[in-house]
Amino acid sequence: MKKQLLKKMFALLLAGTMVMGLAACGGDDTQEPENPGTEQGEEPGNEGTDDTAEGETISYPMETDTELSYWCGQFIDLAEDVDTWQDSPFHSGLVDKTGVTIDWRWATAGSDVGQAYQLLWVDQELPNMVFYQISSNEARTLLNDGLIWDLTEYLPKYAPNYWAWLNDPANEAERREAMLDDGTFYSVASVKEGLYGQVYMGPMIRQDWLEECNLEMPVTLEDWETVLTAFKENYNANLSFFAAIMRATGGIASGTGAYGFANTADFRVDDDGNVVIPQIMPEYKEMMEILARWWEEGLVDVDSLSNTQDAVRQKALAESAGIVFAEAGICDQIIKDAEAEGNGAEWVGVSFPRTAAGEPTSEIGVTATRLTGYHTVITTQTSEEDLITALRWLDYGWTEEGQMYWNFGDEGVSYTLDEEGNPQWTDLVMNDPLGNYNGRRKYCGVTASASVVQLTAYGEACNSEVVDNMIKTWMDNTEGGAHRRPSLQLSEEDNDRYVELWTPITTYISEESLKMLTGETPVSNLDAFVDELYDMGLQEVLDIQQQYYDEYMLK
Amino acid sequence: MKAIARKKKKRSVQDWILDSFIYVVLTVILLVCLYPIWYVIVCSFSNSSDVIQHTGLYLWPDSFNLEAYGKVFENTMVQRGFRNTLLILACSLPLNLILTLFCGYFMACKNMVFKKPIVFIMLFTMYFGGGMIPGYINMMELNLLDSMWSLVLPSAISIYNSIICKTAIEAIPESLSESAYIDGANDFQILVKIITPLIKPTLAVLLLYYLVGQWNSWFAASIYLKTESKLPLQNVLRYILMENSTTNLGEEYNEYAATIKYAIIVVSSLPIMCVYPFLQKYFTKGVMIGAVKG
Amino acid sequence: MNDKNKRRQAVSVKAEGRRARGMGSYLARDFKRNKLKYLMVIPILILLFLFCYRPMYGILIAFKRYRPVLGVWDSPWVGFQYFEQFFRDPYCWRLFRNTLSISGLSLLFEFPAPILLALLLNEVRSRKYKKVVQTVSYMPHFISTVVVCGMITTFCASDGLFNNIIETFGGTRSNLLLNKDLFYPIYVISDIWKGIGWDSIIYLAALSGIDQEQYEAARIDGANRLQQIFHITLPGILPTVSMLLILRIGSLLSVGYEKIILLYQPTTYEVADVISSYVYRRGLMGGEFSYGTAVGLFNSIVSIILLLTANKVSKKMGQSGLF
Repeated sequence: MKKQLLKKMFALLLAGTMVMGLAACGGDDTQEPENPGTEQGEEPGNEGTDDTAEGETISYPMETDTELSYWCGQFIDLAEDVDTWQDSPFHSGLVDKTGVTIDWRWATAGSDVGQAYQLLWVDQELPNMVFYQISSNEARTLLNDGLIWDLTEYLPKYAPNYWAWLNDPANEAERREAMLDDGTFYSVASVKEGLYGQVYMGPMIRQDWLEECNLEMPVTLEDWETVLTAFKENYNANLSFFAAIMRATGGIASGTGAYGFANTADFRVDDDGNVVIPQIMPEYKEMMEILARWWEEGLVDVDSLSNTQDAVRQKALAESAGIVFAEAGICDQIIKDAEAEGNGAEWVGVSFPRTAAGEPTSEIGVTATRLTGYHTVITTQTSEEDLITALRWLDYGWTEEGQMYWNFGDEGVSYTLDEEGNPQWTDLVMNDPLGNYNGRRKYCGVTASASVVQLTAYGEACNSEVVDNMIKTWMDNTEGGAHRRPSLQLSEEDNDRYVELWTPITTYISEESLKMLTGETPVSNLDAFVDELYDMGLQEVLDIQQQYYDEYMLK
Repeated sequence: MKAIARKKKKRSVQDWILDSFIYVVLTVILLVCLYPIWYVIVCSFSNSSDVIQHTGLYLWPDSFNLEAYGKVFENTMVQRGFRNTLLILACSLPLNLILTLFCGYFMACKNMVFKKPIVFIMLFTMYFGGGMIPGYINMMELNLLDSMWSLVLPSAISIYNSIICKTAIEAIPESLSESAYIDGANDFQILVKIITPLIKPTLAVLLLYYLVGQWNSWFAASIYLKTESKLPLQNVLRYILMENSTTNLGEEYNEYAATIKYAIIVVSSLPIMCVYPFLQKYFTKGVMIGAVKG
Repeated sequence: MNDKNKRRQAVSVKAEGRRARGMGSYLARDFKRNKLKYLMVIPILILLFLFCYRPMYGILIAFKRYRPVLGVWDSPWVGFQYFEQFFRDPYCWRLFRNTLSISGLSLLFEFPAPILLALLLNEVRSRKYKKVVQTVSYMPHFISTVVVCGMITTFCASDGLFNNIIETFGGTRSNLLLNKDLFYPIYVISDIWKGIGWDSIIYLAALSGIDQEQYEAARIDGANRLQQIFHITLPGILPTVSMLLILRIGSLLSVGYEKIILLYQPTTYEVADVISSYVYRRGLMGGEFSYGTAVGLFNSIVSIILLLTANKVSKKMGQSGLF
């Protein structure tokens, strides 16, 4: 367990957004993979490998004997009671549908995926395809070193459905994110359909207490303060967080989102296109004053900084918390606890607070785009012929039929469409002896992440009604990633310099902002605090970020 | 007769105070160590929700429940893991002891020209290493990947333990080995016939250290082994823990999460706890009586 | 008597031999005499070479901007860049101070604790009670750090066990882990709790090696139990204690990051943030290999220096030392 804990939590939080999909009504206009064959036409590039016309969607299953190896880390893995992929309905069904046999490989049971991934490249023999979190920087190194294929020329021809999705104007941000600065594409990305998938945690409130105190659902920060004060007076209850959010983001106030920033030590892009950090924005002072006041008046649980989610759950049960922030799964559990306890507690999702009614709030999604950050790359272990097969195989997941299969499995077996056309899991999945999560793992491939679009419908089908409502509440009037800085590809020297300056700055921010929160130093010290940040080299960091951001926008 | 009588009388007030002091302190230590252990055991036999919901000191399971253990043992991997670990132990422990004796003896002896440089070479490895990736490449080049030997050989000798062994050997009066030399024995015979029996307590401790070290280790196996059926027990347990962890990739809360980590602790530690009493008998006083006469 | 004479003769023969021949044959003599000993050490040296020295080129990562895909040799050389970065860091000296503070406190309190436990257990007359205490005391060693820290966090929470006790004695509730004055005590005491039993085992073994006749003799001479402890027991385990102390001093800069990360808070960074935890946080941002290796290398060099110094001091004080 080396650097596992936090890194894994981070990866898990990231991957945690994979569960759900988008809140669309009637899920049939998800994608329209038009046949791009007509537009592409010229520039065949490297002809001669086969004579199907470029860009033409081929039919599945393909007729081929090729076997490809696919290393997936810990994703797309087998259900607990399934020993080999041949026994897994999803994996073997995929072979039947696509015609390609895949030699599935995963990180050894119980090992750290990050380390297993690093060692992958050191091995003498590489697998054909690798699915992992591969940043653009890393991809560039892999490309330069001749370890993976440059897919720019191949995608339009052999992965037309994916290519069409990328070039759909609605997916502009994702397309930008998926390619390198010079327009090179290196992977088939993994995508969540929409905001529904990005929101996985948020606040819940005791509705029964609200009613008792004759209060409305709080909307603005002021409302929240009123409600919390009332809760404190009447029930001696407060607002309880769990620590992992705070730690992972290096800051405080995670979860309020009211000022358009939730994570206080992250970069954002303000309305003028400048890269800034919240600390230097004027709103920061207001936010800190409010939070410091809440802390002083005992409206916030002092244990929030060290709480585990279980601790939050305990506090909810012990009725010492009136509002909690937790992941959807824990929220569900809290509701069940309350039922079991029979204390009449009614927990309901409440939307993130905002500064004034009607203003949007920023949520705690993690990515700026709907890309999950995981990609499938194809290693140069693969011959060109196999590369084509691999792309075609991957493209299957981007066809309408393939998408449904990856997300839900076989119609009639693992899912059925209800009256509104929404897919619902069948009993086979829901009543799996080891739980419905296990059932899903047997029949679909997107329980975590995969190189396909994870549909909102998937999330909706998985979540109970309660959780579904909560997520929709959390999504309400949220600006999503609008001000988030996309991930940038720094050069190595710049990256070194950036990391060198940024680590002490984040340490300082964590410490000082917390001191202001707990009242150890007054918020009026903020100006001195900001000055100190500049002394530590903040401007240089911002300049570096700005430079790369501007270049990114020109892509 | 007189000496014994005098001895009995000497158990005075002073002794009595000392004794009570000792007993009090030890009892405090006992209780302080005991409660958290007891907590772990109790939790492992409980319902997951009990662990969360219980308030106050948790002294007895609210509802006796073997589900956590069920989760651990139903997995056939666990049995294989046990087997693999035992196999690894069977191969490494004898090797460990022999090499440690050799090393300790070497370090304890004097009058060797190359002793200092050799010992320094050994000490150096305690503090300097190449890192995970060069280590992996090394294994790859040695063709030991996915083999049990990649787990046994690198940890076959612990310099730290050898130093402890050396200290124990140095406690033996030189006169013993000197007289053996004169009687014509060589180093090997001295080591086996004279030294080993006299440092039994230390050897028992070192055996325990190697045993526990090998039993608890999982990192080497996680990077060097590729086949699941070869995984030792700790890796399997880690896998089970990860499978059942709370934030299981953001999916719904896992029912067993809270209790399973405790069950795993109990399963991991139980065998060692069983071995220890057998070694305890070596920690009795009086091993040296009669060894040195003049 | 006869033996003594024989021995004297043997020694003088050796000395003569050494003086009489020359350097070359001095070595030959050494080999002849210590042949078996050198032979014994060969398998060990082979193992060390194969598994420790062969991969040691990885240390070079400290001097390069390492990327796993490029390998150690092809990664670009940057010289002392990462070392410079480390020493330039505004928090550098704080990290050193904290690391040394924690190590120092550990040394001061954690090191003697198992010795005391061993001594106490040694004096217990009832073997059964001794066994019970022994067994229970080493059990915490088997609870993983993660779980221990989880327990500590729960106990230190404002509604946790410790606060319950504090409140009973009239204090106010607070989250103990947020308090920077309490971090060191919590850290050290929990370390002691976890290690006291297990670490005492080696001392118990050493104690059982003490010649019982010495106790008999002392009792006859009229020494009481405390005097016996001071004059027989303590000197008896002194070699073990001093050896372990030397080794412990060698790891003065090595405070592990796992426990710190699990217990610290930004409010306690000032005292709790150590070198390894800072490197870890930085590693999360990328570039972890080179920077971490550089700091690790620095740590290793300091450790070896500390080790050799402690060794020298120990030898001056009459103990045998490492070589």
